[in-house]
Amino acid sequence: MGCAGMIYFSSIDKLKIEALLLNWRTEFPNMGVLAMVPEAEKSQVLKLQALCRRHQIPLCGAIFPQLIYGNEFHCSGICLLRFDIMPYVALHTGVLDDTLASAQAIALGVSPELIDDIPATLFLLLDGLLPHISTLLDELYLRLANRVHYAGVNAGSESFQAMPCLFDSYRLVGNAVLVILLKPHRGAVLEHGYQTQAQSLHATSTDGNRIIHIDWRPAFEVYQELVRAEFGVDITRENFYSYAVHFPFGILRANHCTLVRIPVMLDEDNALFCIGEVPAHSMLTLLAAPRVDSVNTVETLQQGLTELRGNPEANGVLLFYCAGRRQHMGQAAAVEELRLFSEVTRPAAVAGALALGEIGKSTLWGYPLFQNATLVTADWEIGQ
Amino acid sequence: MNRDEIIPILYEMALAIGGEVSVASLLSRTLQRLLYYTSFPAGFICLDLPVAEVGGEDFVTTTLDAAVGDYRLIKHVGEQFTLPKQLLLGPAVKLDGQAELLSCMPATRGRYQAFLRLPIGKLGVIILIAPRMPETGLPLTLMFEPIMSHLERAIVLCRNNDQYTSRLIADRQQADTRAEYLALHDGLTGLPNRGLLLDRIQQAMAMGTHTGQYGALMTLNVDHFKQLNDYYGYQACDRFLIDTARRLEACIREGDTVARYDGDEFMLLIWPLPSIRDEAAIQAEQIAQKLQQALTPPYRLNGRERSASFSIGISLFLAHLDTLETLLRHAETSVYQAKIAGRNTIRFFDPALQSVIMTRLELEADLLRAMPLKEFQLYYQLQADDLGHITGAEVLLRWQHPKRGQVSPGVFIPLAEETGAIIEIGDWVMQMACEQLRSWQTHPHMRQLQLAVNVSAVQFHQQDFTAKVCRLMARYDDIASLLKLELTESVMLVGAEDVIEKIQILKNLGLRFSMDDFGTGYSSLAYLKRLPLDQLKIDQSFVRDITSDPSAAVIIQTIIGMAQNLGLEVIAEGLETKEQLALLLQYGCRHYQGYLLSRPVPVDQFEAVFEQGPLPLSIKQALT
Repeated sequence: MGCAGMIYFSSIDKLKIEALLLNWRTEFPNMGVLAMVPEAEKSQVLKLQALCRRHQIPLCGAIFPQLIYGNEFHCSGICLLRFDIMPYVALHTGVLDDTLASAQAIALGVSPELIDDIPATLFLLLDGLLPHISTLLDELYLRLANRVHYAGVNAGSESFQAMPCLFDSYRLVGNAVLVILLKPHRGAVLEHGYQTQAQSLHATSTDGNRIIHIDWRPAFEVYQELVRAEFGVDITRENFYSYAVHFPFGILRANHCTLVRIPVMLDEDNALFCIGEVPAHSMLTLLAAPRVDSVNTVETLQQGLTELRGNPEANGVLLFYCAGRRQHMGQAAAVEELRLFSEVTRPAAVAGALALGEIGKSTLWGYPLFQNATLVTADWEIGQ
Repeated sequence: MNRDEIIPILYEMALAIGGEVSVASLLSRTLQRLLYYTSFPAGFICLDLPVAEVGGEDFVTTTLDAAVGDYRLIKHVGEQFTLPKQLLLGPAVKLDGQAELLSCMPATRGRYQAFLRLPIGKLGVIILIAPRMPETGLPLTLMFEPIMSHLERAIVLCRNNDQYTSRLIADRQQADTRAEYLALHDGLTGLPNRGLLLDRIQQAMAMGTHTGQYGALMTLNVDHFKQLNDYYGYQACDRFLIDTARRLEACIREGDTVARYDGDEFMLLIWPLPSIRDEAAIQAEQIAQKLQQALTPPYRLNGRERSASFSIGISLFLAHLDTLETLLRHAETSVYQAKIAGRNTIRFFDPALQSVIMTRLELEADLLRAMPLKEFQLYYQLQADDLGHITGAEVLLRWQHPKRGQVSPGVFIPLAEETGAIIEIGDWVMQMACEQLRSWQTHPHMRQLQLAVNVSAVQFHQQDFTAKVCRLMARYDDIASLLKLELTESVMLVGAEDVIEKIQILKNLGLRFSMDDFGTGYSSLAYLKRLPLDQLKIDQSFVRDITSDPSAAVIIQTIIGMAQNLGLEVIAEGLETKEQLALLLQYGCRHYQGYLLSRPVPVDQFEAVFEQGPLPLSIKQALT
């Protein structure tokens, strides 16, 4: 399986990579590279940066828990995606310190690139530990509105340890947003396919991506009771992540689309950390052991992509798969979903990563939403 | 309807609305949350809609107060549009297939077909728009009613807060502007202050580098300002300075700067001037003359008209040939030069005089140290009558400088007056004179001696002068009638009425008064008649010329005649020759002081002379 602009190397061979890049550049003098690196290969980023700098090839990318290429997850290797012409890319740091200022800086940076009417997608690669991603999206939407489509994923470690996970030719940083303006591009599609049985649950105290209290009690206490009731198991700090993926929180919307928030960590105060922001003082529902309809999920994605591009033909396709979803469904079911996705969409190539949160819209137009437990997909068009 | 689905949405929206304090962010945030929950991609808000009328026009004109989600629509926020009543007015409604109706909206033609209308009470309306109606099983038109009601009140509160905030901001801006103004301007006159002037000088120097044009720094100093201040008080003098500032402003060219540099000193930056030095100097002097003319008309001070004179120094500069510091020193020097030249004059900076001024400044510093270092001494020059009887002496101040030697009173007295040191010195002299008179009271013959003490105009016009003398006389009341205060005519320059009043108060204590240097200065016969003087002292210049200059002789005769008519005693000072004595006697002058009788001497020598009895040189002997 292969596509000229979307390559996976199962091992990192510097000479092979160099040869590929030089070959690409012969054909596309103004090219650039988006690199996706699995966590296990994170030490290779500096070498890749040095290589690209030496040949003056613009580079950007991120470190994910694992990669996706074809129908499989990969713990090693590297994915290189070619931009035929390097698009507008900006790596914004210090996002944790001032989310509003970061949104303003992002909007100011891309606005000059949007003076025409060519459809564009604002593709955001974020550090998965940023606590105010929803706020960042709110602020971006106030400024850029529907001038761009919104898509993105969270990078970082599946162990949720802080680490530098975003890079360009010179920097490898955390607490940051890598902004890529894909143009022309018609957006991404996102779907989780969770069949929700909503059970009312009030997050009475939240702060960013921390749920501090549920029903005016320490969040973890409530959580322990629920897990005990559902599974007959006493949840501990050690097994927390294994069980929490089966009890994601949901934020309901009026069109019955549910935003999923998977708790991933506990802090010393027994507050629950989620990937993705939980709006301040919000009221949540608990999605107890949601059933996933994989066929429906994949078909929805295929339908969405077809609507976006106006025809069912696929070339290279980006695919990001939520790490929490895989944990919930199990490895085998997740791989089956990848297979199903390739079978339904029939692309020339599929490349992507296991992500720690996803940004997209579940309808053709609308508000950019930060999600968990989803698959997000977009065309990687030749000439991107 | 699923209650559990609706309540969290309403709860979160109510909190979002309640968290906003300004209208703009309240409207944006409300729209944003509605889009977030309803999946409508865009929406807008119009406030203050006209009341719906039955019939009438199909359109209303309204302002787009907020828009979210549509890039093109957002660009029109704040603008006015005419939109269909059918879209904006009426109860909450959700309609699909409304492409024609929605095509009336600006910048969105053809892209939307569905809308959700949510009235905000009577205050306005929220319209959410979509290419097609988002799916929902929730009663969107009903469920947001409590939120809209809450929003209506929140808008009113936020509007009040916005008004309050904008008023605060306006006040703050005004305060900032004022602070900025005060930082660069003189608070009294409103003229640029020293800081702003220096900045502009540097700008002029920088520009001069390119243009080669000269500039001039004029220093303008009010002559005798200290006396004015002492006499009229600071409030009147403040008005005087303000008046001066306005007159100066009226004279300068556009682009020139007039600044209040320090106290009674103004500085004018004149730039540009011609690039040829002589032409620049001529033009600068013309401007200075214009200034002088503008300052000539009398000022009104405390209801009275009062003329003032100004010394103007001019220092030319070209680009950065001199440093700013040097230029300022030159400007100061030039005004000193103008003062030395007799005040009320205009002088250009002359480098040759720089050393003279430096010497003067050093002398000034020494003078301020002289009193604590006890470098002053008192000398006594006897006064006698036509029978050769010593009637007393004039107390004269001498300064014995350790390095300079004897410093002439003609040098240090004017300097002491200018610096104000004369007040402390004068107080000391008067007290020492009293002490001397007291000591003579035990001597059978010397107890009748009188002492004349010079009182500077500066000292006399001190507001507490009479009080100080009264306190002194309280300690020496037995010798008050033996103390004679000599005033110069210059005291009359400022407030004759006040002078008369002060003299009268002190005469009531028994003190006597003599008009020193009479005939040389400003003499108003009208006031002279009213001044409660005891004695006129004919200036030594007339005495010196009495034998050679007929006009001097005539003046002396006139003074003596006038004094006799007014009942005043006359004393001639500077008597050096027998010929002078003979003529003075002939004209009727009966009291004398001068080298012919004795030089000024320390008190022990004076007492020694007195002990010898009547002067061997009696008048009659002199005449024979």
